[in-house]
Amino acid sequence: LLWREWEGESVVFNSGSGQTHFLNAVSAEALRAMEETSMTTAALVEHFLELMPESEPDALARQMDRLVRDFAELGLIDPCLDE
Amino acid sequence: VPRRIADLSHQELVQRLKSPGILIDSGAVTSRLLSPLPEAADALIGAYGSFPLVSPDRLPDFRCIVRSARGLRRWFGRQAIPDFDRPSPFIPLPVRMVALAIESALNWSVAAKLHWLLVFHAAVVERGGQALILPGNTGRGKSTLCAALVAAGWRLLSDEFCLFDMETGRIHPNVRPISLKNDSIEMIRARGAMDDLTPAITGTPKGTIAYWPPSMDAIERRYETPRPLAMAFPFFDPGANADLVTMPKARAFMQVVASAINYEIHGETAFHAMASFIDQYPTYQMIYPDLDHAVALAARIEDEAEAA
Repeated sequence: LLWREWEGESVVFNSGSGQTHFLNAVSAEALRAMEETSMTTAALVEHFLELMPESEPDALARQMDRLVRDFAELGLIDPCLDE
Repeated sequence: VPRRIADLSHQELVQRLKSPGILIDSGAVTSRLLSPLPEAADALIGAYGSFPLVSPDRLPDFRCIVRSARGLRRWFGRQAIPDFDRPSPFIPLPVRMVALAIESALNWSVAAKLHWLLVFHAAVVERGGQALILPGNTGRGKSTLCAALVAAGWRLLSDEFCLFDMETGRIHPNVRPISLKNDSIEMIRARGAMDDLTPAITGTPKGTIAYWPPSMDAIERRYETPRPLAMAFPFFDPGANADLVTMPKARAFMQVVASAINYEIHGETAFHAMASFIDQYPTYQMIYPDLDHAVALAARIEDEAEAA
């Protein structure tokens, strides 16, 4: 993946699909975290709870679950079968 | 003195259009136009008469044929249709609209085949050696805005495509007539294109169309490749106050990608080139309720660049 960030918003080029995607600050942080090391969705939620302790865990889990599915659909991550 | 297309007699032009064709050199692109239709000669004189008469021996980038419609369509009146050696999206038009068929063919050549530059939908004008890029997809009023800026003294590079050189970061002209539609014809006529407009063609799929040929200066300077001044996304809103709003760069990037024609062909190279462009130059949304305000906002962009 190729990244550029401006004022907290990012664009990422997926050399696999040839597509470019816009990411807001949260989705960019999630993708960067997963790019750095493979992790479960639960670990991703933990990562964000550390960054944003005021977040509501259930809502955050739902948001991360949706985000992970979107990333997988776009080919930005390579999901494993069993978490 | 170099000869111009208009220096040919009507008969010579009709003959040359049949073979070997007329070469239209618009700067970054040279196209060989071929047509058996005598009406194409009239259309060419009106819109491209001031263009240089290029030797037919020169190798063009593209070959465009505008021919008669074939088969049963001929019985519904003579029709003109661009003809390419690959599937193309054209419908036959009555032969009186041959100018539109020619412009469609020339545009399609750029959109489908010009891949040594990054091509995206935008009007581009230049002043003081810097190009103002006004991205927007077809039908968003960028030709009218472009014409208003040209009438205000900006040099025309293109009313349709920005041709961005990914190696040098410069903008290549594709100098061709500005396509004006419906109400914008009289609006631009009133701004100085008094006698230059081609006769209006009524009843086209896009309504009434007239072409404003480029000035001699724009034609002569068709190889000058200015560096960018800024990118301004035009937004026409008759009820709004004129405003120049800084556009977040990541969003500007994505809007250019959305209006790009061959971005995916260039892949990483286009990503890096466009990111470098977005890094270096200001990006705006230009909100304008009328053309006078749009012209003033374009001047403000120049002022802000000078002050920076």
